[in-house]
Parts: sequence; structure tokens; C-alpha cells
Amino acid sequence: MKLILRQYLASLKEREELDAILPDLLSELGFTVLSRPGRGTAQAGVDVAAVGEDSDGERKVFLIAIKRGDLTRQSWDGTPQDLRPTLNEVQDVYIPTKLPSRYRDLKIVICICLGGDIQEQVRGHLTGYEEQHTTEQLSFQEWTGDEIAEMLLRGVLREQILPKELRSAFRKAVAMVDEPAVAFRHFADLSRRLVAASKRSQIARVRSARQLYICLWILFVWARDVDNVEVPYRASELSLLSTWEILRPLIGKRNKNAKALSAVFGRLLMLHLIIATELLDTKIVPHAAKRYAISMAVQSRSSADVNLRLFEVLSRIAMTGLWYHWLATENDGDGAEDARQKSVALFKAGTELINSNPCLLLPLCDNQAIDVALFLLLAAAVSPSSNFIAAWLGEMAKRLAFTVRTHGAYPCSFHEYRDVTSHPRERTASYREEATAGSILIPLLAAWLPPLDRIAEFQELADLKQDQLRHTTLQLWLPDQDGESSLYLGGDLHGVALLDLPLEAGHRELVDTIFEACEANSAFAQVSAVRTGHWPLMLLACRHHRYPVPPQFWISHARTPDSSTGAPGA
Amino acid sequence: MSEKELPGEATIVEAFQDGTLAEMVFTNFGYLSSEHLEPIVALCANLHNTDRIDLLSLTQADLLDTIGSTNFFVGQHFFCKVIPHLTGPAESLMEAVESLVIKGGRDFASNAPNAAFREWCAVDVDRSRHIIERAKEGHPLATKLVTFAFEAGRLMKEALALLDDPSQEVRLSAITALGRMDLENDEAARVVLQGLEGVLGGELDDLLASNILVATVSIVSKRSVAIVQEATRVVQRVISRGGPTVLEGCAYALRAHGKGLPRRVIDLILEALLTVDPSDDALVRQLDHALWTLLDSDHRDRAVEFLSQFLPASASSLDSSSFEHSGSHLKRESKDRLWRTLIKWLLSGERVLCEWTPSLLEGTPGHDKPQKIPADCLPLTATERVFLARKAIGYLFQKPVCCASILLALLRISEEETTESIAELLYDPMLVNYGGDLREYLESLPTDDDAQPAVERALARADGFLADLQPPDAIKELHPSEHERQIHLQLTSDQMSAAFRKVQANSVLLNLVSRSVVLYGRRSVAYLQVPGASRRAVEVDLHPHSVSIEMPRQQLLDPVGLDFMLRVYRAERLTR
Repeated sequence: MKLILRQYLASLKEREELDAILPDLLSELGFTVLSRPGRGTAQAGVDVAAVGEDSDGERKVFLIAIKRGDLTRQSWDGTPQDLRPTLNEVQDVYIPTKLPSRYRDLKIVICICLGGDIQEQVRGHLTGYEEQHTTEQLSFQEWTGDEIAEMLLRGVLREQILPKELRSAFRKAVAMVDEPAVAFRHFADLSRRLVAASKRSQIARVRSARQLYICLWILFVWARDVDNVEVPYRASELSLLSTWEILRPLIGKRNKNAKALSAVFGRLLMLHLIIATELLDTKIVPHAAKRYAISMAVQSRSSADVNLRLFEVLSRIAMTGLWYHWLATENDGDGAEDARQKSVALFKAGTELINSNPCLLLPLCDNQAIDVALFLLLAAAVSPSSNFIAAWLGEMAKRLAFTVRTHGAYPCSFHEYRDVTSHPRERTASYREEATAGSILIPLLAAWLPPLDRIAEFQELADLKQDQLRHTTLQLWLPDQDGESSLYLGGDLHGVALLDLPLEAGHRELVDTIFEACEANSAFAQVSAVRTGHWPLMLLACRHHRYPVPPQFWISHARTPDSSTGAPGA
Repeated sequence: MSEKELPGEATIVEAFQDGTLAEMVFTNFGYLSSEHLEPIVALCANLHNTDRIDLLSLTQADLLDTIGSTNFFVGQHFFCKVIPHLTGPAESLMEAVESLVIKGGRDFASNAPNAAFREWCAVDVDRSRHIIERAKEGHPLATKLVTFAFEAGRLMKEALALLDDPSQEVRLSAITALGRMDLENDEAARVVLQGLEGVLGGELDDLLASNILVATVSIVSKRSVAIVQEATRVVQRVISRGGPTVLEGCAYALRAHGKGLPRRVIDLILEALLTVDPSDDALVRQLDHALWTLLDSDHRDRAVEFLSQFLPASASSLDSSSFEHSGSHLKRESKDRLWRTLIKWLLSGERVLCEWTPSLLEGTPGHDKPQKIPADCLPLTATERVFLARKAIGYLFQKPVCCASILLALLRISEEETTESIAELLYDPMLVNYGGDLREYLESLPTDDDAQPAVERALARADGFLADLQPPDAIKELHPSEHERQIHLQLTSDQMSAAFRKVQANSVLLNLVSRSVVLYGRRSVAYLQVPGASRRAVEVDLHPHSVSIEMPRQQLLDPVGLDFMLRVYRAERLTR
């Protein structure tokens, strides 16, 4: 375990990455964290300030200066950001002017925190410096990768709170990062156990959330090292959802634990976005506009794989874009503008991806309607007047009708990979009936098309339902009162299926029926993520656990003046 | 029985007496070479004609029932040789012939004893006259076999006299015999045709009419053009009656006599055959055989023309598989001839004809190698040229080199504007989907080829496309998991196995020969026991054999789009 942590610490790329875990690490060791810096805002050389017991049992102030990687001659002295000037600044500026007065009586320890080791050629310089500046009141400690790993094992990951089986699941997840399906299974196991452990007390909730956060960081850094962040991406979604489930009972409470949990959730969201950016900005977006490039990158001989992966990518782009859109509405100033620009850029990347990868013009599985719906929501959020969506959905409806009529690769309602990859297994009416038993995609398309002036395509879907898909149960999904845990954690069936949507009766009838069902469904507004304004979390749950996006999210966009009979949708 | 040990007279008599002659005949005699069979036939005939054995007793139904089909045809061969040499009552001989024909069942060789009977009649004209008399009296077997008696005795007048016999069966036999007879001259033929036409004037059913048509066609196919007018009149009168039996007669007549027929008669018959009900499988099968005969004659183009008319008019109830024999003939033709047909069919835009195109190329030598398309069969207008290019892609997309050959042939003769359109098609979808053989073919074009400039531009665009296709580094996050790859591999393997088993089950060759599956080694050796000699080692060196096909990129990247595009290209029609 220590080796994993050691390697993780050595692989941290940015100083901020060490910042991100250190406060939680210290909190779990019993320290009171006085300040945690934001990016690039170290206060007079101090990245983290905390008060706690030293190894001699005495309560002291710890002023921590963080440097990534090894300490070398180059990073010792030369520029203002190097270690020696930083240490001087702590003594010259921070201690006299910024240390809170209530801690001035305590002894001070300046901690030199390094992700790596201290190289031999600089050892003499550092030791000399420390001896020269050590006094009765001031001392120095060196926290290298070894020490921090040790602290992690003594603290947040100690065996009493992260028992053997959880450590084992975590180790397996880290070891298998290059085989994402296996690694994610182990991480999900860890997450499930931590959620279960969190139910003992409020403190346990905070601890479980922090453990999940730190484990995710470690997993991410390892995965980044092998250039495959698939597991951390999926794990970060699950961690966010699990942490929300841990946090949910404390919503509305104002105590220390509730605040700590809220802070962990915020940091988890940032970590999720860091991972998503690592994947999307560095690997997908640069090639999104190149014809077939991302499709070819799937490196499979099965067109089903290409279709499944591309819709997954589109869905991740949409979800990340929606998070940034949410951040833009939640924040003010530069942060908001930055988030807004990111969501717009992601929408643009999504459109380029669709234009260059025509397999995105029709899903192979009906449940990929979830991914389609997420991208529609992003489009509605950042570019509501875009003609692109009308063209995309119009083409999708045409292809759907074409493939159903020709027994081609129409969207099937199968979930098993084996069934999907061999679809269409037969070109017979009986097989098609089995493969199209139910659909959430058709009602979604049918609801969106007419407001985008795609009346002919709507009619084509209506005709298709009448001619070829009479057996298909058109449906949507609404949350119910009792299923919120399952919404975040997955598992049990929950929610309400809205059936027999009247497509053949026309758009107005269809949308009115959906609208009426939304109005009658009070559970949606009661879902904690929606109630507290964290609506992207519900969309994330839908994406991650493959629930259809509830129509409350989009019904207002499907209502035209012609089809609207009442108040706008949710 | 080795040929050195041929049975003598005593052995045969002894075998007859102890009841083992049948076994000898049905297991040994037929296998003898003609050199050794002839003396045995002569000996047996002599023994039979001198009442020392009764060969015909060996053909009794209950005895034949004990003989397996392979041995039966061995013995049948012997009887066909010996029957013409036998003497004795015609009735016994007719019974023997009938018994042998019935035992032969539906095998192609089952009617061989009838030919032997005809030879028997030909030995003495009185034999024919006797059979005719017996038939007039209503003797069932004589009625059935009287055709051969007429034919053997060339008894034209007697046959003509029986054209108004009250017995339908006798009339049919007379008509058939008149058709088969070697008539002396055109005048005799004219007399027969008059006789046949006379029958048409009276009351007759479809079967008689059909036989009159077949007989007429048979006569005209053997005579000079002098009687074409009379023959045409008879054929026309029969065809005007219509009916499925007449159409069967038309198909049979073409199949049996199509090669020697004058164009006018062929036109008449083919016009009638255009009305064949496509759902009548048996008749369509006969039609296929008839067209095969025409394709093998000077009337080949007329047969192609018929297919070009008949198949599209069949309202989708037929496809090229119904004309398997005609197809196999077209495949054997010279590439030049075949391409003229295929280009014509692609230009017609008729789905059923265009769909036949790839399967006609399949199995021909070098079917996806560069093709030489005759320039004079290519269309003249720009619209038609682009139309042909798109049709070629629609139907021959799976044979990229072959398809590109058509595009290049069009590029060589086209003006600038058409060249741009066709070069665009050469780039997308052809080069966008295929590298490999297609690219090699295009790159190997000589610099003075008229298509070279357009090809060069298309290749340059393809280079740019390919450069964009691969992201600089592998995106591991997109790769399918090992588990998913295994599932896909297993599914592919299952599909290949199923296809292989299906091909094996349908393989004529594999159903005829025995197979050995070699598990180890690079060569095989087996020992054969040669009669009278030591064992001989047969060694076979093994060589690898493999077939590869290139999958179009869009099949992986955008299967729906590819399918849609090809269907659009296939469905397009020229407005004329």
C-alpha cells in the first residue's frame, strides 16, 4: 500500500495536486486546518496552515510550504518560487504579519512538503539552512513522499478506518487501471463499502467522503501515468454520486460536519472536472473535427463498439458542459465567464464530433437516448438557437426510419453487450419485434422535432410507429418518492415508467400528455439534487446508472406555441 | 470379376439355372469395358434366342426390387445393349422395357431402355408395324411405346393416319413420333406440318397443342428455311391458344431444339414465354434451361434480351437465382461479351438485373482484378455516364478494383464536368473506404493513361483524408475491454464456422469426394492397395491457402450511412 502511495506522490504533476489532499490528510490526523490556498495564492510562502499535536505531544502551529517532485539544486534557490526564498518569506512575512494572534504563543514548525525526495547535492544546503534558522520557538520538518505516504497510512487510510478488504479493493483498482472494466468494479466495491461505513455517524460520513476523495486522487494519478483515465473518469462520477448520498441527510444542517462534507463534495466536483478535462481537452477535442478520427481511435473491428464509444464520448462532453454551465450560473465574475466559455467550447466540440463521426447520427441502443438527451440539454443551455440540433435530430429520425424499414442497424432495446454487438442478428420481422419492444428514443425525438421545424421527420416517425412498430411501447421515465438512494447509488428498480405515449395522435397530444405527467409527478421537485439546485447531479446519475433523463428537464423545449396548452415545463 | 475371367457359355447357363445370373448381370456385366461387354452381350443374346436362358425373366419387378440403385444401373446398361439383339414376342420385350424404366424412377438415365426398344424395332419394320397394330387395338404398353415404333420404322404415313385416332394417347404418340422422325425432305416435312396444322383445326386440348408445337419446332430445326413459313404458322396458331401446358411446350421446344431454330420462330416462342407466371417454379426452371440452350447458340443476344425483359417484369417475385443455369453460361462467356451485357443491365437501372451483376462476376477468373471494359458499350451522355458510375458503386462496391475499372473507363472518355463528378466518386466512397488492392491498381496506372490526372487528384485527396484519420496517440479510453473483444471474436468465429458449414453442405465437390482432415504435419502419406501388386505410397505436399477480403472503412465507421448511400445509388433511375 505504501508503495502505491509513494508512487502516487511522486507522480503528482502540479503543486496544486498535493495541495488538494493535504488539508484532508491533516484533518484526519487531528489537525485544525487554518487556511487552504487556492491556485497560485500561497500566502507569503505558506500553502497550508494548521494547528495540531507534534510527535512530541506538544500543540504547535504547522506552516506548510509545498513543492512538487524532488528538491534539486535548481529548485532550492534562484527564483522567488524556489524553496529558500519561500522559507525566508514565511519567516520574514507570514509569521510576523499573517499568523493569527491566538496562535502566537504556540511553537511554530515550518514544514517543507515535497512530493518526491531531497537530492543529495542539496541536502547540505537545506540542513545548513535549517540549523541556522532553528530557534526555541521555530523548528523545521521535512515531509517527503515517504513521510506523506506514512501520514496517509496513519491518518485517512489507516487500517482501523480503511480495513483490509477495502484496501484490497482499492489496491486491485489501482493495479488494473489499464483494464478499466475490472478496475472500476473494484473501485465501485470500495465506494459501496465506504457509503455503508459512513452511516455510523456524522464524523464517519465526513471520513468516508474524504477517503473516497483521496482514493480517487490516487487512482487518477496512477491512471494518468499509464495514459488511461477511463477508470478515474467513471470512478469520479460514482464518487460524486456516492458522496452526495453520504451528504444528503446533512442537507440544511449548518454544523461542522455538514460544512466539511459540503467542502469535500466541492473538491470532488473539481477533481471530476480535472479528470474530464484530462480526457476531453487533451485527447478528444483536438481530434473532434477530423473526419472519422475519433471513430478510428476506438480500434475495434466492430461497428457496434464504435457506436457505443462515440455516444459515450458525446455524453461525457455533454455532461461536462452542463457542469460548467451550472458553475457559470452559480459563480460570479471571471470564474463564471471562464466556466461559460468552457461549456460553449464543449458544445462546439460535440457538434464537430457529430459532424465528423456519422455513427453519431443514430444510436445502436435505444438507451443511448440518454446521451442524446444530455447533448440536447447542453445545446439548449448554451446555444438554444443553433440550427445544428434541428439538422442532427432530423437526420437521426430519417436514419431510424430507414434502418427499421430495411432491417438495418436500428436502435435496439437490448442491454447485453453480446446482443448489442451482434445486432441485427436476423433480418426478420419477429427479431425486429423483439429488438424494438420498447423505446425512449422515439418519444424524445418526436417531442423535439416539431419545435425545430422538422414536421416531416416527426410525421415519418409517426408513420413508422403506425406501420412497423405497433408493438413498440413508447415510454419515458419519471422519478418516484422512494427511489432517491437508488438514483445515486444505482441498483434497485425505481421510478415510474410513463407508457403508451400517443405519437400517432400528433405532437400536441404527445407533448401535452408528457407535460401533464410531469405536472403530476411531485417527486421530481423533491429530489435533493433538484431541490438544492444541484440539478446536474441528477443528470449525472441518469448518465452513470443509465436512467432516462426525466422529461421535466426538457419538456419546456418541446412545447411550441401550437402545442402548448398551459404553463411552461419544469 | 476380372476381365481375364469372363464367364463362358456354360457358366452363364449354369448361373441362370441356379438363379445367380441376375447377380452376375447386375453386379458385374455393366462394369466391363465395351471391348469385353460386346462378346458377353452377343453370347447372352444367343443363349436367350435359343431358349437356353430367359434374360427377360431377370427384369421382373419383384426381382428388380431386391437390387440397389447403383447395381441396377450397371445391369440396365447391359440390358440396353442386349435388347436390340433379342428375338421373341414383342409383348414380353415391352414388359421388360417398361419394368426397367419404372425401376429407373426419376433418374436421368431411366429412359435409356426406351432407346434400346427403338433400336429393337428398327431391326425389322414388321416389329414396328406389329406394335402400331397392337396400339390401335388398345394394348396399353404398345400405346405407350408406339412412338418409338413409328420413329424406328420412319412410318410417317402411318403416323399421319393416326393423328385423328380416337385414343388421345395414340394421337400424342403419333405427333411426338412425327416430330422426332428423320423426314426425307422438305416436301415430307411440309406434309407433316400440314397434318399437324390439320389437327389444330379440330377439337384438341392443351397437351395435344403443346406436343404439336414441340413436334413442329423439332421438324423446323432439322430442315431448311424452306418450311419456315408453314412452321411459323403452326407455332403461331398453337401459341395463340395460350395456356400453361403450351408454355411448357415452348420452353421444352427451345431447350431441345433452340440451337437450330430460325429467328422468327424463336421470337414467337420467346414472346409467348414472356407471359410465364413467375411463381410457377417448375416452368421457370424449364425456361432457364431453354435460355441456356439459346445462350449457347447464335441466338445468345436474343436470350439476354429476353432476360432483360422478363426479369424486371416479374414484379420482384423472381431473382437471378431462378436463372442459375443461364447465369452459369453467362459467366463462362468472354469478359468482353459479359461486360457488354453487364453495362447494359447497369444502365437499365432495373434492380433485378443490376443485382445479378456482382454474382455474374463472382467466380469468374480475376473477378476483382482490373477489368478491360469495352469503350464502345459505354454511354454517350454525361448524365448516363455519372448514372453508370453510381450504379457500378451501388452494386459492385464490394469489388472495389472491378468497380474502379468502370469508373476509369468512364473517366477516359468523359469531358471535364463529368470527369469531376466521377473523380469525386472515385475519392468518396471508393478511396475513402478502400486502400489495398484498389490503391495499388490506381497507383499502377501508366502516366499516359487518359484517366491519370483525375486519378492522381483523387489519390492526393485520399492521402489527406488518411492523414487526418489517425489521431497522433492511441486513445486508450476508447478501446473496447478485453472481455468485449473476446465476445466479439467469439461471435465472429461462430459466424465464420456457420458460413463454412453452410458452404460445405452446399458444395458439389465436397459431397462427391471423401475428405481427410490433417491435424499434424506439412505433408501427408497414405498407402493404397493395388490389386495384384504391392501397396503404393501416395504422398501429398500441403500448401497454405487463404482468401482475404478488404472491409470498407465505412462498414465499421458508419454502416448505416454506407447502406443508405448504396441503396440510393441502387434505387436511382434515369428519367428518359
